[in-house]
Amino acid sequence: MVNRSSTPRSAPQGVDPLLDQAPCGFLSVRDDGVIEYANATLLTLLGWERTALQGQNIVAILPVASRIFYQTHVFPMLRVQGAVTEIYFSLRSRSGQDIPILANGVRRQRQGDAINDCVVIPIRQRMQYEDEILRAKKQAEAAIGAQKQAEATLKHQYERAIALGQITQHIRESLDLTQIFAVAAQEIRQCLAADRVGVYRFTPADEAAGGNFVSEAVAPGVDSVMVTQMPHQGFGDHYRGIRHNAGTLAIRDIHEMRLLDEHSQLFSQFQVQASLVVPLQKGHHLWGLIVIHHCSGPRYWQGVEIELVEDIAAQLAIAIHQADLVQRLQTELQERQRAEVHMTQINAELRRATGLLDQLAHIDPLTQVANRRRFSDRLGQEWARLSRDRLPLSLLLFDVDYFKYYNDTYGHQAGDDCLYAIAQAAQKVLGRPTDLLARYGGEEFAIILPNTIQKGAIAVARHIHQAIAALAISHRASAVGSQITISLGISTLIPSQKSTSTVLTQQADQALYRAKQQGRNRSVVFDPTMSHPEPKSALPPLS
Amino acid sequence: MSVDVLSRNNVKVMGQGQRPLVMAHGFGCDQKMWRFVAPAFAADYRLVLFDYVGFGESDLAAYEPQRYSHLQGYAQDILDICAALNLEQAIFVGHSVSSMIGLLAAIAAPERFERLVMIGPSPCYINDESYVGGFDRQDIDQLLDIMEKNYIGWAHLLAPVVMQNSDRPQLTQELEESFCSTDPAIATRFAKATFYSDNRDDLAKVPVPSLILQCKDDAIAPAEVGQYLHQHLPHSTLALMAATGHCPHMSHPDETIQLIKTYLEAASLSPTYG
Repeated sequence: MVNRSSTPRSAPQGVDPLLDQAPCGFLSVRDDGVIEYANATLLTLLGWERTALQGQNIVAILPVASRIFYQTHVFPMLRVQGAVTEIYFSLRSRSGQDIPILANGVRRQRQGDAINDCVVIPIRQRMQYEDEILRAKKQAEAAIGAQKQAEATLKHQYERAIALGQITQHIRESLDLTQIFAVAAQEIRQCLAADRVGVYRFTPADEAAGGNFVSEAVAPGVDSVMVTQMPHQGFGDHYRGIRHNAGTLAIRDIHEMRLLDEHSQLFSQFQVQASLVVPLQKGHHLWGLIVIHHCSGPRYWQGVEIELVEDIAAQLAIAIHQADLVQRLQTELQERQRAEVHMTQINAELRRATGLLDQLAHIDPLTQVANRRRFSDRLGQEWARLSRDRLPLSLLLFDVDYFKYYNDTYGHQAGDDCLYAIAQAAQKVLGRPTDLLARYGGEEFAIILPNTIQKGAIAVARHIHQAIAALAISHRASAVGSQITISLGISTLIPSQKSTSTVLTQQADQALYRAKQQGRNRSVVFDPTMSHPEPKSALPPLS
Repeated sequence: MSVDVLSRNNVKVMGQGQRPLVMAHGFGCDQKMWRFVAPAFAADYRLVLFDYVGFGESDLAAYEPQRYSHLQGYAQDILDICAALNLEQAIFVGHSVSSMIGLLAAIAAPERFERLVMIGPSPCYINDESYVGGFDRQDIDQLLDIMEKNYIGWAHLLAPVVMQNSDRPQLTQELEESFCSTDPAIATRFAKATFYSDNRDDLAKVPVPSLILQCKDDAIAPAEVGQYLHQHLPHSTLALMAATGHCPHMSHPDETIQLIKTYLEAASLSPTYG
């Protein structure tokens, strides 16, 4: 040791004998560690000669641990605060024995210099019971610590149960994955006090591709990875390794990982310091990842934290599975609906075709009015109905006068046109939907007038004569005039269940026969005497 | 981040210069340790002083046990401060363990730092095969024992078992007067992070030139450690000081100031050229 001071010792003159007899050690040390003075009590305690110790560095009387404590605590406090009080450390005797001591120190200024004076009390005997007290205290603290730990564990479990409960409830209430992921990310972020929690989805059916973040929750002031779409690919590259590993990956400090430069840049761009990655399974297939980032520094991920995230991942796996089922059901449902619409269309077309066929079966193709078959059906129906209601039914039968001559004169095509024109003109006369005009045969037509008394039937007959006259179809071969005319028979009955509609047709037919006999171009109403040669009543000729 | 870093770390900015000079205190102290050297740089630099979270007048509520169990957590304090003040090409002066903390910060964000000045640094305190760090594990365990007895408060050893500082304001005050951290758990955690650290593998990664100030007879960072650092740190300068001990900035402030100034001038980082 080099003693750079010219002053061999620093104790004031006349104080030495007193100091040497003091019941405590006394030591003066310079800032550079050199011992300038030690009193007799201390020298005895340490087994040093005064001349040998003075000028030595204080390190010579300190055990290793106390050297560190002196350099890091005692000297800096003396230097900065000017004093230390009741500081505990150990001194080492020349024979190598460690002596626990308590020290008080104070810094004293000299001319342009300073010295640190310390009082030293050995406390070897106190140490034993104080150590015991300290041990007891540590045990008590350990017990309290264990209790706190147990409480914290319980609290953790409780928080975990709550978070899990909420997520489970959301999964039950919602089939919307976006919403479920948002809730899960938020819950995880809050439970773990994490800076960023994301749900990362691998591109389906493409092992080589990465994926992208589909949901995210970030702490205030933390950048969103989702907002900047660009670096997804980079994360994808990084996470592809996990795809084959398929286990939870907890990274305490991202800097300790061997990362590619571009990945390392990506992590530093998003301030990632520590990360926890938990796989999301769909069946035996890795669907995606829960990615948790800690940005303020390295982070040790605790077992309970990892378990919580894994439990949530299991719940999310159920949600993903459910959403998939729902989607498949919806696709099926849509296909079924499409098939039903198609079926309805076919049915409608079928109905239209059937209706057309039905119509064709009941319509006379030449005149486009009902045919004989339709007439018979309807007459039977009306007969039955009106017999129940006891209401009158009228029937008109009419025949084109000298139609054979018309055909012979004008040809069959003109004959057909003439029948068509007569049918259409007669049809227009009929106003009620239940009235029916039918082609009865050849040039003969019939009209059913339900719920119509004789007077009404006569009126209809008159209108038909007028409508045909209005057609003004020339007929130069007619014996009753120069234009087409008809002869018409009228019959009215209240139908009875005891008889059939044949009665009505026979009566109308007889009336028609009379009309022809009486010179044609007229209407004749049936009357029961008609079986006799002379008519009882006849309507006057029209023209 | 939304944290107010400047108040969290009790950051003090002073001086009339442009180039930032950050001073980081070592284990067992706070920024007050710089008071004997800092004024010498005030005229020419923008001085930044601070306390690590858990020490001095930092915000104890911001203390996170996990983060500060590792020197990276303390390095993050420095990076947070650099970001908050938008520091670039700063000169970093670290004492003891802060040398390694600054080194980790410089690896993480090279653009923030121009030069590192390390006072009594050591990349590894524990002896390891052929490497001489100066200590064995049991030495560190004994240090923790000494610290525990001191921090709990010798005079209050018989006081109630549960340490609740709010119940005992008097004790709190006394401890604040004597120690830079009132919480034995915080101090113990920093001691473990410091003395159990091994940054030897980081040395080659340091992108910034550095000055190693190696004291004579340093009980904490022996001369072999200084040599080892100089060998393994790229672009490093080793200065062997006449000062003894481990705290030359407190015991020999003039020599410390002179060496740092000479180094910065040689690197053309003195205010005259910079």
